[in-house]
Amino acid sequence: MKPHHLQAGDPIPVGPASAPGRRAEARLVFVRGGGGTVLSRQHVPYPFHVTRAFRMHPDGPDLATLYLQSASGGLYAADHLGLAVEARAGARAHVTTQAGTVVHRGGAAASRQDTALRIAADAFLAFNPDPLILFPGAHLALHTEIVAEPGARAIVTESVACHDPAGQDRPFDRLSLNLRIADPAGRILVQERGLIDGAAFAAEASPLGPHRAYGTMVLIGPPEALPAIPFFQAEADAAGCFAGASPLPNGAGLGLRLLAIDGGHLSAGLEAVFRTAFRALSGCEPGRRRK
Amino acid sequence: MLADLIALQQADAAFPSGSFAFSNGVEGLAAADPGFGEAALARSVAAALAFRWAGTDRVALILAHRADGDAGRLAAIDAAVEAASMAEPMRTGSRRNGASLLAAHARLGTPGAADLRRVVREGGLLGHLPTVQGALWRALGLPERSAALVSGYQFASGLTSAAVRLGAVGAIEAQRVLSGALPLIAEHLERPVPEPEDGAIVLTGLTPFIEIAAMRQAQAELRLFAN
Repeated sequence: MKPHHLQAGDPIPVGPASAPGRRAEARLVFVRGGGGTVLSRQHVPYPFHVTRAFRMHPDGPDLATLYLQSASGGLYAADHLGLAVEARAGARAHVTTQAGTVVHRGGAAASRQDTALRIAADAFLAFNPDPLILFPGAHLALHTEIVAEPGARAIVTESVACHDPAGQDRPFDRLSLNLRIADPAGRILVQERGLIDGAAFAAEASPLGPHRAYGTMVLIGPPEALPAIPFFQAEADAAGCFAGASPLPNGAGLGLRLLAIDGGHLSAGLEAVFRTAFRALSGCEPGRRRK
Repeated sequence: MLADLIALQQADAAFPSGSFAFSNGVEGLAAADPGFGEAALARSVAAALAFRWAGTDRVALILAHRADGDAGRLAAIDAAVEAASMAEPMRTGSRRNGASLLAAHARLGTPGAADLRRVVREGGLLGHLPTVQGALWRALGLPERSAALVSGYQFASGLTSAAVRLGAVGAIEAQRVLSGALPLIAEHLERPVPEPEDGAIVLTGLTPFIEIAAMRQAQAELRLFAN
């Protein structure tokens, strides 16, 4: 019998209600206070862990940088983790990670990670976690939702790469990528849904071409603040990526796609374009991220 | 029988659909890879069919066909196509190709074409290609399955004929690639498109390689195609 690969258009499998797996929802709220940006609310249940907010930008002392960590070593089968980050009026925050997050072997129900970002009109939020690393048999559903008020500034990335610790190039199981950008009234500006299985991801006729790591970055902000497209392409190319950028639908901002042969090159490319994006949208020289 | 003949007419490259102006990323792929030839074209066509046409264009077209001329529903489908198209060259290409097809049908007097064109001009509809195809082909009496079939064939043949005009492959090579794509189209056509109970329009796609190629080509100084 011919194997059926999961393809675009197929329904996204949903596991049984009783599927094992952790449920956790974390929430971070950044506000302007005392001349800087502070965390006014911090609900971080296991397996989430966050560092304190660092001041890493000498020319932007009001900008808070916070590292998000996984206390459990990654995402496991049927986990359903939610993270909500809000940057309220005047707040300027950068949320990142220190390393890639491993997605372990899954089952019928996806390991699901939901990220909800909300940015006020005069706030800035950079959210650039390192790539999610799909181990053999991983089944990941990634949902990212951004609600930006007019005038808000944001940089958001989502990226994936594959790795087989045994060095046998065994594929992940399934991957579902969902990105939505909406305005505060609920009008959908961007709605992407991608669905692929590991065999198709690594196949000769892969929609990634010869590449095996993939990332998307969206930049939201006033058109005059967004960097010129050729800059991004040149920087990503120099880091060993194949990248392109274009305006997003409905005037939502700028969208970048990056492909690379592996997670290392993808991270280098994302970091290069992130620095340009950060400089343009925050007005600050990006601090050197300690890893 | 008449519906079959109408389907052939719509799929005919001689029909003035305006699609000749669009490579849908093939020009960018050829520009990025000096060795782009038959094998690379076959891989690209297979990937684009599975990860763009099957879950986005085909679904939008079928839902537009079922809309039976309901302008509000067509506008919702059109908005979903727009929101799902992050790469601007693909997005604008789809709208421009839809406008060309609509212009041809309005001149031919296809039922409903002039009204649909007016709605697009007044801003009530963006006029993406699959939305326009679904609406027009329903008006011409094509059954849903035939409409999806013509759409799939045109999607693949558009990519292969663009490769010929770019000089990346010869006519025989292009037909070989197209022949290889036909079973894939047939397989995708077997997948049902359930009518969503809540009316939600769910489009899926994942074609970063061809989209990046199209984005980069949009920055090029010299281009043969619109995308």
